[in-house]
Amino acid sequence: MKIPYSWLQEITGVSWSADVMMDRLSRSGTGGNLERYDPAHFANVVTGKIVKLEPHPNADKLRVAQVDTGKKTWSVICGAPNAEVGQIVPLALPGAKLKGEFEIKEMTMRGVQSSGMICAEDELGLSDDHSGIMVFDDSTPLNQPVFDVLGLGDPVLDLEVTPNRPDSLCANGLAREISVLADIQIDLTKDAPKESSEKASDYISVKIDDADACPRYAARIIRNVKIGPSPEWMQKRLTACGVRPINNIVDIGNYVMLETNQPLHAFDYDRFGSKEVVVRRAKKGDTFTTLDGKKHDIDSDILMITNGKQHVATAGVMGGLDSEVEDDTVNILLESAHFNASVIRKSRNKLGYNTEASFRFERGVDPGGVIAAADRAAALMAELAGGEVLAGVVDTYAKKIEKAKVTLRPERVCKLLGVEIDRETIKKILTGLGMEISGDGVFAVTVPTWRPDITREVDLIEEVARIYGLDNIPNGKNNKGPLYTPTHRRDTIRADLRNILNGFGFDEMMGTGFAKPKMMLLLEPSIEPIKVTNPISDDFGYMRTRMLYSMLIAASHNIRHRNLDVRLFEIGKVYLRHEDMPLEPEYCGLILSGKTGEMFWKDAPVDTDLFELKGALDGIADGVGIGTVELVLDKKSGYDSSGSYKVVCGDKTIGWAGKVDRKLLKTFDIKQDCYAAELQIAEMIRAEKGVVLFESLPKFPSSTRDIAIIVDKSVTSGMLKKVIIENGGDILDSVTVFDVFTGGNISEDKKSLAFSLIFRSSDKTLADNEVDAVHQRIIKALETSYQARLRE
Amino acid sequence: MTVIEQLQRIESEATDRVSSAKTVEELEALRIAYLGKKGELTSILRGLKELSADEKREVGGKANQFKADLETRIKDKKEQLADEVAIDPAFDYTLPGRPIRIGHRNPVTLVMDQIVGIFQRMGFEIATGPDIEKDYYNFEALNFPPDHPARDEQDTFYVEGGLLLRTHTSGVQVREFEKRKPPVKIIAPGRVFRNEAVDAGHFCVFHQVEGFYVDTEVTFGDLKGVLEAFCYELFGEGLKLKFRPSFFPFTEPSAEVDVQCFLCGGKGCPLCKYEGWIEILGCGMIDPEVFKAAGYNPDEVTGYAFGLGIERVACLKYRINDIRLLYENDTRFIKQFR
Repeated sequence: MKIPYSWLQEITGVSWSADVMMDRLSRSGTGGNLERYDPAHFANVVTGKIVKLEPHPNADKLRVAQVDTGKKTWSVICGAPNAEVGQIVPLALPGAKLKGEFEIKEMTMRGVQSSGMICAEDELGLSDDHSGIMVFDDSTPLNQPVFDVLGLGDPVLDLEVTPNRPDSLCANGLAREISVLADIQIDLTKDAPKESSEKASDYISVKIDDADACPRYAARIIRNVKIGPSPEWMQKRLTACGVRPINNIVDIGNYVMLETNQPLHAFDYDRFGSKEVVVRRAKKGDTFTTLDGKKHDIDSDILMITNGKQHVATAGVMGGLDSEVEDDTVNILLESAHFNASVIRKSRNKLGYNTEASFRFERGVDPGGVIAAADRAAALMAELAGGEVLAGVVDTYAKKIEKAKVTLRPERVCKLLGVEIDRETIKKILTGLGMEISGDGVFAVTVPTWRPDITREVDLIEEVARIYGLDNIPNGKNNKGPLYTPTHRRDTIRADLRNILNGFGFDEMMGTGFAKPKMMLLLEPSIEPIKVTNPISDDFGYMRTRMLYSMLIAASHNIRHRNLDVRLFEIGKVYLRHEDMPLEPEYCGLILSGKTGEMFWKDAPVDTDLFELKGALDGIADGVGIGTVELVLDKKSGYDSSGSYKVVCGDKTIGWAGKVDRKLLKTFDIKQDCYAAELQIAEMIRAEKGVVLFESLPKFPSSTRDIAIIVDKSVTSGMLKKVIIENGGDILDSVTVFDVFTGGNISEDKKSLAFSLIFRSSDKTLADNEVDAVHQRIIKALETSYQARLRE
Repeated sequence: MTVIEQLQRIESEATDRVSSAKTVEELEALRIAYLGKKGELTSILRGLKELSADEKREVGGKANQFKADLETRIKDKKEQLADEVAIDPAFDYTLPGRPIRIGHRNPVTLVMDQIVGIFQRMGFEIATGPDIEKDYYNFEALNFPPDHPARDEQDTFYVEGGLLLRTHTSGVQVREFEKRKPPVKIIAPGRVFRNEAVDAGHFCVFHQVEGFYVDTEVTFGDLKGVLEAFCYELFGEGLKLKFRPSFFPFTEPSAEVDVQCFLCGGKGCPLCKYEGWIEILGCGMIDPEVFKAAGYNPDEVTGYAFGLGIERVACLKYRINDIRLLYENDTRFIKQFR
């Protein structure tokens, strides 16, 4: 809420500057900013009246305004669509320096002289609003400094009042805080209105049908008011608080609300429709038109003010069109009531409003302040609108709200805060906040009704802490807690993967976790995603079921922005339906596209392919300690039907990999091949080899033999490797493919593969004939298994 | 000149000439000049027989010693010169090296790891909770009554099945309390969601780190100490903290913490919007209602909790002016971080 410094200063008489006030409030729990303006930024900005408005002869969108400041008429070019003859506007004259930077000079624009500028709010630095020029009330005098007209000399505290502190939503409540912080006495009581001899109870009675929803309803009658503008001081305060002045009666209601926090409602008594206020819930099928002219379907969730027959207002949210105070209103029925917080919250949610009144009611207004607020408003109506206040308040207190009683063990203060605060200090703080305290050991504390948030001991400790000052609590110096806190592999494997993949040249991306329904289902038609019931937009309608979705979104962004060589990974969750709680398995997703390597003068980079992806997967497997992985043909949606694989580690499938489906690439607007993999973290952990055990280094030399063979093209290196290993016996140490060749003198349906075989024994130097024997056995086996033929 | 004097002259002259020789050929010429058949030293050695027995002994010893030295010296120098390969002016060593592509860390996980690491070193154990959460853990058990205005401050995404996307990582508190007995000292990083208008300062997804410690004697002073140590390491030693009382349903007392601007040291600059302070986290003493929900006795244990947003810290730290960049995944952006 916004409140001018001068108002709080006036109530409390505190000697603090505005800065000190803001700082002290902020350090005791009422945070916010001080809004203030530099008078130099408003020099030569005065009020003027538009007396003539003509089209600019040489520009369609501009007009030439004659602005009268009372002393002189200035010719000013104006582009604002809302400018009209007769408006009183802020006029920046030559010499003005708006916001301290924008200097106003005499100038000629397309052949027409302009001697100033009519300003919008943003040009004056008041807000970001540039929708049109500012327009003042018709009664504003001319040639007045705009700085004064807007009351900008008075700093305004823009406060963020937390939802637990409804009492701080008003001047009196804030004054109470300031009085405790500054240790000064204040008196918030106001003079009671002078009453006439006629009794209000002869004019109105109040009946409450639902005492839980409306514990208290007080009414006053003020007769013979004269509707007109409220005085300037009141208008300025309302404006500073962000409330638009309307007329004296409405303004008084708002002013007293800003002063006391009690929302008030003024009905036109003669249009109320009866002499009886009945507070009851609406019935299903009822309708009601609020004072903004909107018709609402209402039901029993909505508490209404009725005249016994018809609905007149929604309780605590907004009045009705038919009973609104108008210029010809003479007699006022003033409502000051207490409504239940959650009833009003439900009402206003259903009606779709968040009004100053409902905002306060749903946070909790002081039931003990109902009468004082009615009296204060009635006194002001007599003073400022010439009204006659009838005798008595018609007060129906259907369900008395008692003051809360809370016990406080003073030693708990130290136990929770870690600082010794003596009993007297605790007592003084709480008493200053309006609590009554008795008891010698344990404090019995009676809490004022304006503090609905204080119901427990800990709430009182918080009061002590915030007034004592959190900065005055000494910082703990020792590290406390359990000596042993375990490290979990699920946490460290992410770091391992990040290091490995960064080393391989992959950049780490971060998907949103959301997915666009249509694209998500195209990618993964077999899983029904979890739907967001209130998404921000269609792009965020589902939770992702596959990492590949986010990988493709990111690849698409990069490729469209000409970052053509994409190596990205993300470690994140996908979301899958499962009984009452979804499953959220974590994956490491990779995507590759563009060139392998970067431009280099010795050799040119080549297009990425499945083997770069396989290399990365092998590296990951080695790095995290799951040994080796293999790709096994397996159809998975999202991958091309000719190149879709599962990633297998021993007997476990740890994920999928392959070339991204061509049709899918089109959907994601990607115009180059992409290769991707999705590895499930939990499966990788499960596949880990566990403890690393040292193996002694070989003591004896190895022998190397190469084999080059020609086989059918359909025979894979994997098949051949398997045969080689099976026949290599104990002495075969490793097998590596080092060449694949087609063409030349090799027939069309054949290919040549070359393997390098290393033989070694752990207990002796191998003799040539031993190696040759095994080598021959391998060759024979290749010949019989796959009709392999040695290449000459 | 005596023979000795002659020998001394040859010795110093030969030593100088050998050490200043630049080529193998030069050295060979020197060898011949001194040690060759007609070499100066050779002549002296040949003339020994004409000397007296005493002179023979003195000169002979020295000359032979010197001969051996000079031979070694010339040989060593020849080897040294042979190893020196002349610079080839045609070899362009300024050509770029073979590129090794290094990938880059995402600023979000970088900052998250840094923050979590600091708390791990202080003895916090990592725990996590689900992103798709029950109302109970996200709100109710954290003392957000149904239909309370405090829920408005956390615009919530709902999903089917009566679940929601967690709005903070604080839900991990009750989940862990249910599984453990005090002392419990946990740091819980994770992804959270808020249904609010997306702009340069807000995104519908971000990350938080929630920390909490419950034991028999945990005080607000302990909380202040831990957060001070944390901020020293994250932002710089000696920076002041400001604790402003605030409101969170699940802590009482609650506070928001500002750290003195680490860029200007509190003098005021664009980063801190000329305030000198930067709001960094929310914290407080765990509310007794939360302990009750978890089955802990609030008279027996106390505890603190704190939470901070990772993206906010990342934006401050790297002066990123638009939070949306963090989720656009442009490699030109990511490559700036390490």
